[in-house]
Amino acid sequence: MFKSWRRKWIRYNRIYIIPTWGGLMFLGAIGVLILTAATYNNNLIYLLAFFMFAVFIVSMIQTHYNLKGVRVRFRSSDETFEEAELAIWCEITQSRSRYKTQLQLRADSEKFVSLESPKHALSPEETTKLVKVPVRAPKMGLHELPDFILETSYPLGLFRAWKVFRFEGKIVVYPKPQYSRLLTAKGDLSGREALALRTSPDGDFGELKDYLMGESYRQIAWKHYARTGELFTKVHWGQDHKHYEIPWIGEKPDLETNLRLMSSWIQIALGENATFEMHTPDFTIESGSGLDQARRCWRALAEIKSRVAA
Amino acid sequence: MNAKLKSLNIPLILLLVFNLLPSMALRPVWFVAMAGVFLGYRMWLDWGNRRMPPRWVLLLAQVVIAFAVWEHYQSLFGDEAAGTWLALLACLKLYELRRDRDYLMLVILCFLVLMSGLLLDQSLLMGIHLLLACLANVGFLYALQEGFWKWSNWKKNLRRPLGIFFRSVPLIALVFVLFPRFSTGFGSSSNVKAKTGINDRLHPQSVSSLSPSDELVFRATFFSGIIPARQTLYWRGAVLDKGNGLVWERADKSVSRAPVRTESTDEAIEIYLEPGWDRFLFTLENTEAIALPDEPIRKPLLMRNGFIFEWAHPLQTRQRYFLRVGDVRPTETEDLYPYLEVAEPSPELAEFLTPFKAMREDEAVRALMHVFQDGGFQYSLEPPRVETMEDFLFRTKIGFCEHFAATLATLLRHLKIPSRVVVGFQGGTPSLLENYITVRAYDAHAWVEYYDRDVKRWRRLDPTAQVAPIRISSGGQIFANEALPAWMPNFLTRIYRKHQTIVDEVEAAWISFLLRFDLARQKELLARFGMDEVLFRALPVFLLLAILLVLAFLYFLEAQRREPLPAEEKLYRLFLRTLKKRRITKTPNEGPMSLMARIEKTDPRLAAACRPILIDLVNSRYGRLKLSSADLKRLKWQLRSLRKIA
Repeated sequence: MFKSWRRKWIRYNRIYIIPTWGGLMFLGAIGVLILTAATYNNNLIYLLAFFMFAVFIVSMIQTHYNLKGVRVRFRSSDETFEEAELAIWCEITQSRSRYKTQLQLRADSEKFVSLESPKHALSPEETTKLVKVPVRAPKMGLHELPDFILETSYPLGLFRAWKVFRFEGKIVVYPKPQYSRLLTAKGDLSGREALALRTSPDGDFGELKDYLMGESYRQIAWKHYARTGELFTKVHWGQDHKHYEIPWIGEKPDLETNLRLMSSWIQIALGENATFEMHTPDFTIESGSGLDQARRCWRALAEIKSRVAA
Repeated sequence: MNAKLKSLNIPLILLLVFNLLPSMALRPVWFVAMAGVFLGYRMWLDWGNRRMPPRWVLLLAQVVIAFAVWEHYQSLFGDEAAGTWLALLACLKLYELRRDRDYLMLVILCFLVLMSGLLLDQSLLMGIHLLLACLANVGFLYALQEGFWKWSNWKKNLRRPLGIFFRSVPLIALVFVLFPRFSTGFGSSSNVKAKTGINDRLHPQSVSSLSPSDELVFRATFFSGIIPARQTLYWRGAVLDKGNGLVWERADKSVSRAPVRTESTDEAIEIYLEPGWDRFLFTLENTEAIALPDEPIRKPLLMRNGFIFEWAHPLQTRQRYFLRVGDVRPTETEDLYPYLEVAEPSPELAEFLTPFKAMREDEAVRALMHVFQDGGFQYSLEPPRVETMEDFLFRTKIGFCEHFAATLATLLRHLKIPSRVVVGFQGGTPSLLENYITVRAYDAHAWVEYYDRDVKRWRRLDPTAQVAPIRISSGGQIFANEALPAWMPNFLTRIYRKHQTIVDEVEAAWISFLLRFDLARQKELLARFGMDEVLFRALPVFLLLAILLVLAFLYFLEAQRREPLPAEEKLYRLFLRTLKKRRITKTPNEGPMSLMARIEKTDPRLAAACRPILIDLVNSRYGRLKLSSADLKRLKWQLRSLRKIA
């Protein structure tokens, strides 16, 4: 209920301002001063109280004005595993050339834990700034972008002014790999010899290994032998290549555990530079390798979680 | 603790010390010692990065503070006790700085410590300290918000609170004028220690003890613009009716409610009385009536025999009242018998009185005054100690006004002339600029009043005027000079006195501003703007509206505020203005270099002078060149020399 109320009443890009805890204490002190001044009919204490009151009011104006005209634009967000830190990239910009200091941008969502972020400043010379909003995502899935709160307590910390920005978009949080069971590789896709002849993507071999009796003379690194007199065998990219077929292991007994297991298999395949394909209840991700393939798979897992949760 | 916040520790300690400065002067010595230990130890801990004392030590310190305050004041409440307690607790709070919230709390405590000091003193010096301390506190709040302190940022740290102060001034003035003055009903019965000297008992040295002090007692403004001669100003305080010899006191304790007027239209004298001078309202001899400004709760005013006015309790705060004076002294209808009571005279005294007994009353009075004038008496601030009146009258003959007054009153009673001793102040220092006088402690005086049966009125007799006429004509100040340190050269004494007069003037203006603004003044002022009694009741509404108005105005100002231009931009604009004077105006579509190209075509000599300036400015604005202050000076000089090119 509170969430819907807040959603309804807290408007986009509107400035809200309330006294901080310190501001309330300050106000309390002003109250004490006025009562004392009235009790002792002491005009100097009245003056002190009114000075504090004026400072309170002027600082409210300055806090409000420090946020006026400042906007936030969503740029991008990283993808990460659950419980890991995630960076959301936003742009703070102002329409007029002013000094705006001690601006703090944070994410506000039940799905994310907002982490401490530094304070930013804008100036007439730098009216736009790309800032990182660090959060931690405790749960896997595809999540709506959090509300972004741009806030400031400048200049005296007696007031906190904030603006809420909402953007359309999703943040992908992968299942965290959980190595409870290993997946067996399906073996080489082609014969060992053929692989040995394959060149690396750059047209060169990857590394050298000690020559073993019986290995092909063709694979000996003769240039290296000419330089050093030591015999090494050239190891080409993909020489020890494996292929994994990651199966869909179902929702039982626990979907999240299963997704984490599948996530760990993706990570193992990625670590071994293997090719891998993945089956989901709805589709199959074709064989591929590398980080892009791994991300496709992890994203698919995150989507499954979101779809099931929905 | 945050390492950055730690940089705020020493500035915060110094800030607290600055806020405590008036308390150090106004509170007891043990307070100064205790605060010094707390502050010094905390600074030592911070300096050496040492560990804070455990919590139980702090608890113990709190108990010790409470005990010390209780022991001294017999209370933990009341303005002095609570102020002392609060100031020491603020010192202890320095040992609990963990989060930024603790720092903020301590700054708020600093404001309360300032307030407690203002309960003890409201002088001009205190006002100046208040202003500086407020600026320092606000400056610290800025630094706290930044989270660190850098001594090299002192200009910034000074500029920011000044900025907020100047923005605050209109609001402070407005709220000060419009805030409805009200009373909480407390605080009127607080106990302020009366200063010695002016009370219901007179004995040798009770008045003379005041003479070295230049403490302000009251200021009296004469609305007529004419300040009477100093020797005619006798400000009556206590009237003492029972006495014998050199010790006099008040026997008649009866008091009645004094008739008090509220309007002050036909009053002649306005008096601002400082607190601490017991309950007396000092009045001139020919005072006919007394008027008090209309206050929310008027302090009960009492009248007692001798036409003396007093408060029910000693004054807690500075008080304003008015006197209406007539040409002659009002008659007093009272029983004269108590003013004739006197013990049997000693044989020595009886013999002395014999010739006076044969005279008429008026002759006897004159003859006694001649005794003081011609009898070899001397006036001294430090008279020799005497046991009896006879010792003084027949042997030492050196005394202060209380000796002379007490002796004369006793002698008059022996001659069956009703008499009494009056203690108060005589004279006052006139202002150089305005129509007021300042009466200070060294103006304390004692004199005699005797009942003239012929005119049925009390008359004043001042034996001191016979012994030391200069005391009456020049005031107590002339003798107070003697109280300055003996080593002080005369020219320094003169400077001190001259300086004191100037300070007096400024302080009088300060008090006049500060104190005259009570409920009555507020009504008077607002009535000038057409606010009658009915509208006055709606003052909170007006105040709220005014605050909103000022708020809107301040917000408008904030929006209009222009950010300072970068130095190179300022110089470029100056460059363009210089060219404009030579009738070369930059067109809107022209950049600096295309402007340069145009100048080269029209005036190659000017172009040669302009080129190095423009190249530096362009490189600084668009390139990576950073102009140092020396570069800026050089560019300014080059720009100036552009004007000289024919």
